[in-house]
Amino acid sequence: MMKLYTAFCVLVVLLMTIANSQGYVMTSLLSGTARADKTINHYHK
Amino acid sequence: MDESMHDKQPPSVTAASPPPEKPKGKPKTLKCPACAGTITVKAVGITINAVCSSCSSVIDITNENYQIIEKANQNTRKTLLDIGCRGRLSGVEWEVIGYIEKTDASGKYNWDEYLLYNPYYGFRFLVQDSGHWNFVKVLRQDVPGAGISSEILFEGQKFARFLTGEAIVSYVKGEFYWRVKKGERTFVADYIAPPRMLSFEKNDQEISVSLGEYIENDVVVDAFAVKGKMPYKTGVAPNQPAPDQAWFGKLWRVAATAFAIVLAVQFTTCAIADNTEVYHEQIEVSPQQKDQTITTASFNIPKAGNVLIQSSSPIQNDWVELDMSLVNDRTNEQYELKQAIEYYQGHDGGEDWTEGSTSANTYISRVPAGSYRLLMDMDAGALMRNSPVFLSLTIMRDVPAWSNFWLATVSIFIYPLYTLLKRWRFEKTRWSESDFPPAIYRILEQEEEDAS
Repeated sequence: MMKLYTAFCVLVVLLMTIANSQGYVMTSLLSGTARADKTINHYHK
Repeated sequence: MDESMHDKQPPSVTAASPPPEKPKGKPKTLKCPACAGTITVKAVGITINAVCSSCSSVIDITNENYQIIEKANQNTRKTLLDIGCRGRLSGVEWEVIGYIEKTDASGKYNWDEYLLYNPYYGFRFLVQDSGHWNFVKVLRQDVPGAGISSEILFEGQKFARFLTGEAIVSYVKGEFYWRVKKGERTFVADYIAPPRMLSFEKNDQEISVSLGEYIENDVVVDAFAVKGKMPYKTGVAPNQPAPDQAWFGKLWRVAATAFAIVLAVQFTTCAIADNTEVYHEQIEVSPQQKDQTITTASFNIPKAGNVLIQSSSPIQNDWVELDMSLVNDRTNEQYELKQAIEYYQGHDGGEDWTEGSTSANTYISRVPAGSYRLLMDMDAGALMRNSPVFLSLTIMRDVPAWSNFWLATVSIFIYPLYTLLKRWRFEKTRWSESDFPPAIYRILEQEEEDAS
């Protein structure tokens, strides 16, 4: 169990380091504002 | 463990130390003066009392006439471990030579003590209580404060007082190195430092201290090849180690280390982030522009990274809703987002109150470098009342965001906190059986009683 948890912590630290360095914001990713869409002005009047 | 009440001290070697010379006495057989049944004495020269396996009379072995100390008044009871059965514990083979059942003063609560013997290592006890087992040896040393103090120090370890009470012998069979008989009473006090337990026993003549260590049922089953049904394990034993006891501290050390690294990564990110403004504009939207899309001038994002869009409006008891698209001039890729600015204030019941905010912030994750515009559709309470809306728009790039940090922190601590909660419940169950629970459990128990 300890090995599994330690591996999980290493993964979390790595993910956060990569996300911060690349400019990923988790809340933005989760809320969907980071998704790029090429169908411009599909709702703008 | 009534080793204090014996006339002759048992050998005091531990299983870990080299075995001493084997005592010279061979097992001896004698006839029971009550029923003429055969009694075999294993610990010759040490055993004082023997209980006839046929009729349960207690015989004084030290008396040449094998005097009956207590006439049998009950049938021989079948016990989980039979007298004479052997098992290997702590690397030593032990033979069960005696069995005692004890009860507390109320008579409602009882437990079993098996006396084990090895001619090289002497005596040990195997104690079964509510399905939990302890392997016990009697100490031949003084433990200051035992039976009196709320906490005692033994071999550098702190033992907390758990309970005190009276133990009464309710049944005996086998042979013993002290004079034991039904109805014998001793004062007992147990101190715990799981998985160890120090038991202090005292009667009118003597005081003894024994050290027990919790062992799992499987160990007993394997050691003695128990065929019968083991007693059902109920509750938490006083010295039962918590399921996560072996790695609980290590778990928190790993969590603390991971958190420290996450914190360092976050501060480094904050320190090296560009955190620069790429666009700012004060916009006045007239009621005539209500159904039009507002487009900002193009602005440049020099490096890929996150983008923060900040909007604010000096509204009071009003609202503004913005449907936005950040559009790449070259590729037409767009990032859609919505912002709502709502701010209300008032006076109610003699107090001022406010709700909402006059600004809104939204992060966009990793926007590639390039030239961008922001497209906005606005809906607002002021526009519906034919009034203009003033909007301050700021776009920043490479802004330190804390959401990654908080998400990582929650991820790291969620499992340690879960184990902490489990541990708390385990300890609460353990101490609910104690006469001396720590203050925190005492207060909580009182609160629960009051609530019910």
